[in-house]
Amino acid sequence: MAIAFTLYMTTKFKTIFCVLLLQAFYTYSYSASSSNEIEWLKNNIKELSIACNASWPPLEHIDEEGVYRGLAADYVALLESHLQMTFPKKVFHRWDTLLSSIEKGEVSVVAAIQKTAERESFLLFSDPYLTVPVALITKKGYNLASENELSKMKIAGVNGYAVNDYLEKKYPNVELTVYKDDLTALMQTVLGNCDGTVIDLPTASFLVRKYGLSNLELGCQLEFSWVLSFGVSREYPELINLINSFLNTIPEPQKNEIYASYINLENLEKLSKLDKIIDNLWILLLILLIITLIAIGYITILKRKNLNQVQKAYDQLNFHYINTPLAIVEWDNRFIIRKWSIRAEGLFEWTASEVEGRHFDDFSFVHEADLQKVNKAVQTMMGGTVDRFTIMNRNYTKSGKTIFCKWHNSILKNKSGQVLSIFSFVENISDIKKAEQFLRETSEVGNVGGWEIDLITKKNLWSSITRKIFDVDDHYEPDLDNAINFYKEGTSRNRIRQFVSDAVDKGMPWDAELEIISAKGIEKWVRTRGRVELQHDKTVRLYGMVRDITYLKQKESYIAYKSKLLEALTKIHMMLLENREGLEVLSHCFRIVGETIEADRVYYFKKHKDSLTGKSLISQVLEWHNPEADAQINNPLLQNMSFDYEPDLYNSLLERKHFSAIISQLNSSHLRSILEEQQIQSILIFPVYIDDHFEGFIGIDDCRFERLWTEDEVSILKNLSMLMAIYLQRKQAEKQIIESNKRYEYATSATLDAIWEMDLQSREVIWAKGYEDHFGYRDQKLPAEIVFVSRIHPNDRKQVIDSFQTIIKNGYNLWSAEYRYLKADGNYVQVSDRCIILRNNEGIALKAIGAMRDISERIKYINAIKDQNKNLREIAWMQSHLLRAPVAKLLGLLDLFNRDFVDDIKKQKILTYIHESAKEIDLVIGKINDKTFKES
Amino acid sequence: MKTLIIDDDEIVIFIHKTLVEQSGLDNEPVVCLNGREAHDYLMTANPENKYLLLLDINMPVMDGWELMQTLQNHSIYDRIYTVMVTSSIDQIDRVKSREFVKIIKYLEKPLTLEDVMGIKKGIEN
Repeated sequence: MAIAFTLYMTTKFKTIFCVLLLQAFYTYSYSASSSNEIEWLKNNIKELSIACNASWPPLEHIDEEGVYRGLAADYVALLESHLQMTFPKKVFHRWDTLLSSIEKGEVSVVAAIQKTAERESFLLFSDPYLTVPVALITKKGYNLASENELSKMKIAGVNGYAVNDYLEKKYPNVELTVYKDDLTALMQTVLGNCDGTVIDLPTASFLVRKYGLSNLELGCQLEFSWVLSFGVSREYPELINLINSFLNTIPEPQKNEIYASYINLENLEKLSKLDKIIDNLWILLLILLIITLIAIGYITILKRKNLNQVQKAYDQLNFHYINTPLAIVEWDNRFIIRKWSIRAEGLFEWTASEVEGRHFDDFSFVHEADLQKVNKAVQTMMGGTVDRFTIMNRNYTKSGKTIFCKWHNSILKNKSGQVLSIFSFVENISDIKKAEQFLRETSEVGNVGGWEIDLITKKNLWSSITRKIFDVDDHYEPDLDNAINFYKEGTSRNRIRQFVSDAVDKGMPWDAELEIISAKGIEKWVRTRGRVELQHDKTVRLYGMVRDITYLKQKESYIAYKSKLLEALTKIHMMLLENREGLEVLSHCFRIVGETIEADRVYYFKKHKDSLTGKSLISQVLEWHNPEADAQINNPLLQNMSFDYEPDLYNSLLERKHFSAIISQLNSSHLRSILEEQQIQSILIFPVYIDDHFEGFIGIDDCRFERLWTEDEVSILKNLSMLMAIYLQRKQAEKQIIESNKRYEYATSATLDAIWEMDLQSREVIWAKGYEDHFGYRDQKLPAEIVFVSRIHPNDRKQVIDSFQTIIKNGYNLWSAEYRYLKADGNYVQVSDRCIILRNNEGIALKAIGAMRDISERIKYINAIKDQNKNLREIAWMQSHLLRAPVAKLLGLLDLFNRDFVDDIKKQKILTYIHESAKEIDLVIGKINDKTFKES
Repeated sequence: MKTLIIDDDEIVIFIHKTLVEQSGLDNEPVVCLNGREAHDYLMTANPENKYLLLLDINMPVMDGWELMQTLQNHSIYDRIYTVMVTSSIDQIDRVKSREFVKIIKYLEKPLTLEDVMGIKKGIEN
């Protein structure tokens, strides 16, 4: 308004006005551009072309000599001189072409442009530096009463001007025709094609003067003014900063001078009647005018200053939106998202268009567990009592990931304290939270100590737990070399040295399980983790944690040993139950046991009787030995041993108990000297019983250590003895079969057979004595129908007779069959019957002479063996199935336990499960033993 | 592909769940304590999905074979792959598994990460 007012003043008044204004303008300060921005400009100047409007005098135009001139051109020249750089320039003869070119990014800067919402989508605006009144110029004598008359007028304007929007909105009925430039538009009024032209006053004044357009006058000044700024493509926020800095360096008097040199509106003064009266009274009104002017001027300056500040703040905020490493979210006072920065898009994965205009409750953004906390924070912020509020909570990303965020909220309020909006800067603290979680978890699992080494100050810090692990007191001052020397010489020390060296030189972290020897000389296992702190790519500090894992390692090795025993036991079960032949299978089992429990010998002594005295003796019959121990299988002292040697051993074996001893602790005896001769230090022996008969014993020697046999080792030997018993029993049964077969073979004498002779013509059968002995019949002469047909078991009869007749018919001489035969006592017995056929010269069968033998005893043996084998198969099945399930679980758990991906918490769980599985195996073995011995 | 761990033993479930998650086969496998639970799950499951069954044989309520026989009569049968995971070393079970075209593998416990990776690779191919 103040500037608009000056249009009515004569030059002499303007001078007074300027002097008065100067005082107010002194409040402006100068600012300088930063060196970084200048540097940036130097590198980018070639791309920053200025769009020059050739047809907007006196603001900017190209003169007859092709020089860029005008008020805006002067500002550009000043800017270039300020920056000591020249921008490339591109001339446009039409405003609409210039606008579309800048929108497409073909040019980067426009020197004078009105800020509109639409243009903000592709331009950033500097602080405004010029306000230009816009007016309606009419033909002289049009006598426009007020601006409202515009609605009925035919108006000329310029295509693309921001004022067009203003007119169309305010006067919807206005008949506005647009032309390519101001001159063309103004000419429409001169020529009478329009009632008036909408044009800014300086341009109108310039054109009237230049082209001598004398028939025009100022119809009215519109409520709309150009507030002109530099416009810069949004790609170059840095340039806006530079331009703003530059504008601030121009003192206001210089701005006025520039303005005054282009704007002269005398030729457009409206000479209305009212103006004439004012003209006559001007001296009277002068004082009043000056006072008003000062007041208005001052208000304008304040407004402008405010506008500048708001614009500046806005630009700075924009700059932050783009450049800050934090995500920024702006909320309105209902917590609806107004703005969502690029970083916010990166962090939360939702784009601005997906979330702007939505409440945080409208999409899955805040973690359910933190919703209450967030709502409480919202209430606090909306209460208007706080300016800033920080909250940590979990958020979801678009893809459903949970992240930990620290929200730094600034609450913007009006003077009455009402909340206008909230700016939130969001920090992703997920990594920190994870680290905290990790530390908490590790601390929960075991005692975790901390340590750090400052490589610059050489200071070393150990926490109290670290000191406890290394067995040093509070006064101990650690240094790097000493710390390394705690690690056990060899692999552990070499590795820690390498880790430290890699951490210092390459910034590499480490995580390893190593052995140390504490200050008290105790060997321990520790898990050590090291991290590095870098400054300018150089390691300045090492820090980390150390945890005593000795117990875990012991447990690990105990579990590994237990699993080895179980595995060995399973193998032995399988081998002995597979019913392999020979002693090889036993030697194989001995080897498995010996290697598993790291013994030097495993052997079997068998009981037998002295052939002369009938006394019970015992001799070694089988042995496995460690390659480093001597074999004793051929030691004559271990053959035909008497039980009298060691009564304790004898009694233990008779009571079915194991016997164990450290040889040096045995009383002097023959046994002790025999054992010492074999260099045995410890011995463990278990008896082998079959059907309550003592069969012998198995034993284990250790020739290197005086060893106290563990419960597990005793248990594996006990199992071996039981399995051997089953095996030997089966072998005995098989032997019995062979023996019975042999007996059968020997018994070819008549005493075992009933010899018969059949006349094939008369079908009469004559029996020898054996028939009565074996089958109970006294008759020695009987018809074949009685002897064979009626006494053969009905189920076998047809088959037997058919086979016999086939032999006769087909000319064979030998016949044999096995069938059931009725004895005199009414029982059927299994018989084996064989005969030879005697034929005459024509081949006609005359006689059959045969021998029938009762083979039921042999069948009994066979059935007994069959039953035995069936039982054994059942036992084998049961053992493999019942035992396999818990063994499989144990093996699965051990496999998991050794995997890298399993964390400490899971490992604890695995240990519990391992314990449960081991107990289950014990239980199953117990059941199997009961069943095995009951069955066998 | 959704994975169902069907076993009545807590420890076996723990092992299988850990391996399935670690192998990337399924981050949230479904656990069923017997064949009946697996059957009920599959009857209400999305018929568009595919399902991998890690199936034990001996279980209470409904054993592995009964489950396979029941599923044969349903359309979901076309959408399943089954791996028998059992502690049985009985050849009869192994032979019986060949009766079902949907049994792609017969594994003896314990299951290892390598086994699960192998199953995953097999299915992907």
